[in-house]
Amino acid sequence: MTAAPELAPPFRLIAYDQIGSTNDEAKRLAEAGAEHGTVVWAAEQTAGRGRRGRHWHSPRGNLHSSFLLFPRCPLHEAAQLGFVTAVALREALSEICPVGRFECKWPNDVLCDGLKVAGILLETAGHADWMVVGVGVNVVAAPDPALYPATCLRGVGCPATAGDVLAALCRNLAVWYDTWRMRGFAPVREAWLAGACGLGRPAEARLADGEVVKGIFAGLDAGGALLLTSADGGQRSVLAGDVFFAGGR
Amino acid sequence: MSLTSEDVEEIVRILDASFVDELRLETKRFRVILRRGDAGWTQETRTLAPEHATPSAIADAPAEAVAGEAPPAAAKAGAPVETQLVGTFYRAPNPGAPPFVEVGSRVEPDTVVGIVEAMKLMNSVHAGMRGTVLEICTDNGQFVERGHVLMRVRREDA
Repeated sequence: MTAAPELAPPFRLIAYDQIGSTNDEAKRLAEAGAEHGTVVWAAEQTAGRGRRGRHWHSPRGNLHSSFLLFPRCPLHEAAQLGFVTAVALREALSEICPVGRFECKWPNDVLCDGLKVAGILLETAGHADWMVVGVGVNVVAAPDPALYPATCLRGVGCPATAGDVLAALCRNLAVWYDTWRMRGFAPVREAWLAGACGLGRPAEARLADGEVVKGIFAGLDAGGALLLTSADGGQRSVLAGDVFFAGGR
Repeated sequence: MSLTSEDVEEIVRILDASFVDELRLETKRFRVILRRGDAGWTQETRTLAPEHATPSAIADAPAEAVAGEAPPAAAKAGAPVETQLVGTFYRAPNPGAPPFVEVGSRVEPDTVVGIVEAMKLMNSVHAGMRGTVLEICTDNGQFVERGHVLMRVRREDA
């Protein structure tokens, strides 16, 4: 593991050399009474996972981290924290890796030069007041072609370490979290759309029940759902699914 | 100790890495059969009558009715487990994995019975009560509104 970075308040680091899943550990800590701002960081995950239990490639050198937050808001608003984190991560990566062009992809992936470089997975349980925001960034290695084509920071010539990325993320997330708490989702939505991938382009969302919704990516609704406009002018909002843009991303 | 969905997941993880195609496990409290299929593992679980709780609860029910105090309608149909989040309901932690619970599964208040996803927020739904799953009212992958009844549970802690 690279040297443990100093984190911006309110974040406090708990670092591990190897762990199954940082999200699972953060959830365990939440149940054990850990506080808002606890950050679980592991040099390596042996059971890293993404959406719907997909394997998350977690070799040493990449960033595997989970943020424990107590947003104290209704559950449907808490989902907005994925956008808060994505906006903060995009800014963090743009700061430390100026050679890359970073974009947000619905709902909360971050792309570098059009390829997936980071993923965010939010988890909460029942009526719990905590939320775990898992953030994985491909720093030194990208997975073999999977569902989405991927890249890593080193691949675009950026020498930053996982610790550098975590420190920059915490600085930006502290600011964006406060913005969201004080001013709501509107400024987050605006910043997300300003850096969004595929706006105005044809896209399709593959839903869990097998339905494929196709349309032009028209933006986000006020709560963060993906808006797709179909050829007949109708609009569908999508809350969960895999999104692909024409051209394969 | 009863079998939890986490136990089943752990067993499947171990089996995944093995050459075993079928596992039958039976104790005094439960029976579980896991089979490897083309689309992943299938699961059959059955809670066997424990020494206390279930048989006496069933036997007591008519006695209560005779006593003149009819059980509330909700108790007959089972208590609802509802979602607080609008989104997509999943019965298993990932595609191909055994469902968290089946009809007949024993649940504790903190047993995870499903997941609802909205914008990559995964909300684990807990049973919220002790009992047995009577009915699963929602299909895997179905879109659910807030307050939607996901399943019904015969309560044993009321």
